Amino acid sequence: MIESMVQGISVLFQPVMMLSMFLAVIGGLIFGVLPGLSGMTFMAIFIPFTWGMDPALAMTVLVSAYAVASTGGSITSILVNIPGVGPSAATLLDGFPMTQQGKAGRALGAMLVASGLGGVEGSFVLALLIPMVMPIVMAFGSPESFFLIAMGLSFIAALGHGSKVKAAISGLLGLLLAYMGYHDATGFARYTFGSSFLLDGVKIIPCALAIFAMPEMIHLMISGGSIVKKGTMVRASGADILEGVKDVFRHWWLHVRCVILGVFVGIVPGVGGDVAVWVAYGHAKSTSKHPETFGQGNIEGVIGPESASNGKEGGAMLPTLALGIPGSGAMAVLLGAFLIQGIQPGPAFLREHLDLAWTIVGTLVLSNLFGIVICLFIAPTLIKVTRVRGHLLAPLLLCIMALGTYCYRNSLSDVFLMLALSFLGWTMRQLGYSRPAFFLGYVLGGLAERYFGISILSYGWKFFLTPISLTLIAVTIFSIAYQPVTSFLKRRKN
Amino acid sequence: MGKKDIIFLMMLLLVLVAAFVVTISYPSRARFFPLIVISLCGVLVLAELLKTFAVSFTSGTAERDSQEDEAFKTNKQKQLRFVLTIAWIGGFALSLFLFGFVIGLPLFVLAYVKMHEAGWRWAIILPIIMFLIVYGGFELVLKRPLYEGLLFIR
Repeated sequence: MIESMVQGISVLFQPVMMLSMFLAVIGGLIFGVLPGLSGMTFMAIFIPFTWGMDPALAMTVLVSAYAVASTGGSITSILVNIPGVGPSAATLLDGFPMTQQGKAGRALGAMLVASGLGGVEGSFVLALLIPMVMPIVMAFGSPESFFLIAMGLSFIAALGHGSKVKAAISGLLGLLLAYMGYHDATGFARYTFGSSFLLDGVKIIPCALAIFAMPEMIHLMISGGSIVKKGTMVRASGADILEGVKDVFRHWWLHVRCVILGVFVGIVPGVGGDVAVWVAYGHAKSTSKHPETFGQGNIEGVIGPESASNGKEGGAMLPTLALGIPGSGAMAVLLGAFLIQGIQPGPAFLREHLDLAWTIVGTLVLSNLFGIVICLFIAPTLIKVTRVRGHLLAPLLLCIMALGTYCYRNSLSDVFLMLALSFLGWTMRQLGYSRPAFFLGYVLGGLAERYFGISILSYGWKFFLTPISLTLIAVTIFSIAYQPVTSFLKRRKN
Repeated sequence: MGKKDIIFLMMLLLVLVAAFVVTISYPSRARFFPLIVISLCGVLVLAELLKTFAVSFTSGTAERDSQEDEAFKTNKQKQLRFVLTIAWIGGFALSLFLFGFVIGLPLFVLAYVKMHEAGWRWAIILPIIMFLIVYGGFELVLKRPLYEGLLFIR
C-alpha cells in the first residue's frame, strides 16, 4: 500500500507531468468559464488524444482539467451571473449580488479558496477511504461485478434532471447502442446492416463527442454571437480578493461541513455535483445566523456551495475507481478514458493499478492548488474568453473534435458517425432527454452483458447466490424503491 | 415542446419496432439482452407518448404548442440558422471527404469565419492556426498519418 502510494504520487513530480497538469488546469479553467462547455466536455474532446499515451499522464491531464472546471465556472457565475458549469448555479445566488454591490473581488477570493481547499480536502477523504474499500473489492468475482454494474444501471433514472421516464428511455437507448457489433460470447454480428465498419460497434470516442460536445457546438453555431451578451460588464476588481480569502477561514467550520457533505453526496452514484452544491447551499442557509440575507449577497452562500463543489470530486472518484460505477456523467466519460487505456475500473483496478489510483488522488490535490494560484492571478483576464464570438470558436472546436475522432483509430467513418450521432445528441439536449444517462447505459451495457455471460458459464443460473451479490441486489432494489415508496407513504399519510 | 416530443417518440417507437423484428431472428444468447432492453424501452416510450398526448389534450398544451409553433414559424431567422447549421456541418463533412484534413479543415474554417465575420483578419488568422495544428502538430510533430482527401489520394 505505502509502496504504491509513494510510486503513484512521485510520478506526479516529473517535469512532463507537472507541465501537463499545469496546461490541463488552464484548459479546464477555460472550459469551465465557457458556459455550455465543462470539464466533462474537455474530457470528451481530449480523450482521443490519450490513445497511446502513458495511462498516468492521460489520467493526470483529464482529472486535472475536470477537477478545476467548476472553479472556472464559478468565476462567470459571480461576475456575469452565468454559471459556466451546472454546479456553479448555486454560487450565483449570492455571488452575483455581491458583484452588483461592488464586492466581486471578495466573492471571487472566497470562491477560489473555498473550492480549491474543498478539492484538496475531498481528495484526502478519498485517500482515507481507498484502504477501507480494498478488502471488500478483493472479494469481487464476475457475478458480483455483474450486479455492481446492474446497480450502476439502476442509477440511470437518477442522472436525469427532469422526467425520470425520459432518463430511463435515454439509458435504454444507450444500452441498445452498446449492443451494436459482435456479440462477445457468440461472435454474432448485431445491428451492423452489413457494414464491416460497424462490426466493432460504435466506439466510445465518437459516441462521447457526439453526445456531449457536438450538441454544444451546434448550439453555439445556431445561437451565434458571443457567449456573453453585448453590454454586459465583464470586470473584476482585485482589491478585496484577500478579504474573501480571509472570509473562508472566518467560516472554516461551515467550509469543513460542506466539504464533507459534498464528498458523501459525490460518493452516491447517479446523484452528482448538481445535487451536492444545492444541499450545501441549503445547509449553509439553514445554519446561518443571517438566513434572511441569503440571495442578497451573503458570503456564506458562496463558501457553502463552493466548498462542496470541488469536494465532491474526491467522493465521486471512489465508486468510479473502486467499483466501476460512474457517479456522474463526467465520471462515465472518465470511465471511458480508462477503457481506452485498457484499464477496467472496478474491483480489479485497486488490486492491479493501486499506484494509478494514488496518482489520481495526488492529481486532485495538486490541480486544485494550481487552480487557486492560477485563478488568483488570471481570473480577471480569464473571463474575457466569454467575449470570444461563437462564430470563431465553433469551427475551431469542430475541427479539433474531427481530428480527435479520426486519430483514435485512423477511421474517417468514425468522424461521419460522430457527426450523424450528434443530431441524436442535439435532439436529446433540446427535448430534455438525459445525455449522461444515455452514455452511462452505453458504457455499462456491454460490460453487463459480458459479466452476465461469464457468470452463467461459470456458476450456472444460481450465480446470484453469493453474499455480496445478494447484498448488491438488496441495495439496488432499496435504491430504486426508496423514493417512490417514501413519497407514496407521505401521500397516504397526508 | 409537446409536438416535437411526440414526433421524436413516434420515430423512436418505429426504430424500436424495427429493432425488435431484426433482433428476434438472432441466436438466443445474442438476443437475450437486446430483447429485454427493446421491450422495456418500448413500454417506456409508449407510456411517455401517451402521457404527452394526454397532457397536450387536457391542459391545452396543443393549443399553446401551436401558438409557440406559430411564433417559431414567424421567426424565420431562427429557422434559417438551424438549416444553415445543418448545411455547414454537411459542408464540413464534404470538405473533409474531398480535401482531407490538411486542406479541408483550414478551408472549412476560412469559409465559415469569412461568412460570419465582416473583415478578413480572423478569416486569415484562424485557418493558419488550424493548418499549423493539423500539418505542424499532427503530420510533422506527432507523425500521425491523416486522411488526404478523395481528390489528393496518392
